[in-house]
Amino acid sequence: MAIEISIPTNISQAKKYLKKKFTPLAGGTTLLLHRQKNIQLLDLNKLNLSYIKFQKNSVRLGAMATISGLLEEKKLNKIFGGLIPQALLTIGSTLNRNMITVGGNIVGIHSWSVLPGLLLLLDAKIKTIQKKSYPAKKFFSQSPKKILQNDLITEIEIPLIQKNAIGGWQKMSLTETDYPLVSVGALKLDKNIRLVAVALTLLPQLFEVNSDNIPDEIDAIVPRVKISHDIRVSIEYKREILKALFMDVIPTD
Amino acid sequence: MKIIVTINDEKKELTLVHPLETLLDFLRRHYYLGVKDGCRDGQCGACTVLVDGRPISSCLYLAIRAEGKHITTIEGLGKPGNLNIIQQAFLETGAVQCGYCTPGMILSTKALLDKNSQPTEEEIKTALDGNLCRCTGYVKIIEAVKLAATKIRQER
Repeated sequence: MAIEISIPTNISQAKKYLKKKFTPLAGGTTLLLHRQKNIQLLDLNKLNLSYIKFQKNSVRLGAMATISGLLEEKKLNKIFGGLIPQALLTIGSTLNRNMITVGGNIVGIHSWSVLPGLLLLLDAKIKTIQKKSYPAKKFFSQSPKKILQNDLITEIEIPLIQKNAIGGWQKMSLTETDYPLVSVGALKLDKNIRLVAVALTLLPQLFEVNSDNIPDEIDAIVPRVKISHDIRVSIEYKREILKALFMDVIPTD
Repeated sequence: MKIIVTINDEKKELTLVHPLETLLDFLRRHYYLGVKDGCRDGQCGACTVLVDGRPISSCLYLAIRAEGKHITTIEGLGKPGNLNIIQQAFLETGAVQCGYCTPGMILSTKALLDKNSQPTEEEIKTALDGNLCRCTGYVKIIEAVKLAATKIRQER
């Protein structure tokens, strides 16, 4: 088994190892779960990417910030009516959240990854070491690994332009910390409501409804949502859960 | 490959057998056997240790990442005859049956009470949501955490 670990301390060093096809190592949970062998690892721990910075119209999250780190940031918890902590608390357990990183939860995308859906909802931008900036809609239109050839996420930027936007997040799972059967988020912006569904297919799915006629709009959306096979419950059952969660998650003023 | 790590307030230079050795295997290989091997999947919490005060699943944490960090295992809290307040509370409330989850439960409790000595029941449940117990049904464990919190506040 051939393993090599490199631990760069600055972005230039990291870029050199990426060119040599080293695999980025963020929190490490996905790597160890998949028990990969014969691998060259690029440990991102010393790149100073675990920041949370508020600016006038946005908040910037370093790719190595942990989920727990985000939950401890009080200002982040207050915006969007508490949408962000509601979503983040559905990710695994406290022990998992102490290790899972922002970048890792996006790139190692699984059907249960919450952050891709949340960032899609919030119109976030994903920024990389090669100085590229992807709107979330583009980034999550395909597997992140396809976009990130010799590239690495360094930062997420969430705009704070709509100050009165409020949101919510709900997850349905067999136990409190289990992978979701269905997980949905909503963001209300004046008359428009964005809805996102995760854990149904590999990539999150985004929809928009008008707040004038929510039940009818949701009835129209639910049959269009793509749902992959899940050994735990049937597709039809997931569709019923989805309808109920969509109705429940939309914030009332 | 060697790393320098502080384990239970003792600074040590220890060898990794493999770059991808987990912290669980590393600690158990160095006879910190209170760190239990449960699921190896980050689900059960039996392998919980504190890294710089934060509870993590050592089965999903690379040992090489522990370089320069402070690790606390159950061996670092109290000794037979001189138990830590949390360990004592677990005994007094009957929160220990087979004992396999107990080191992890106690370390997660320590992390909670170090930050918040007056947690609500919901906060206790959230702090311990990564530690599974098949024996007790959790009621006594939650009582133990509340008792430990009370005793810690009385000591301060």
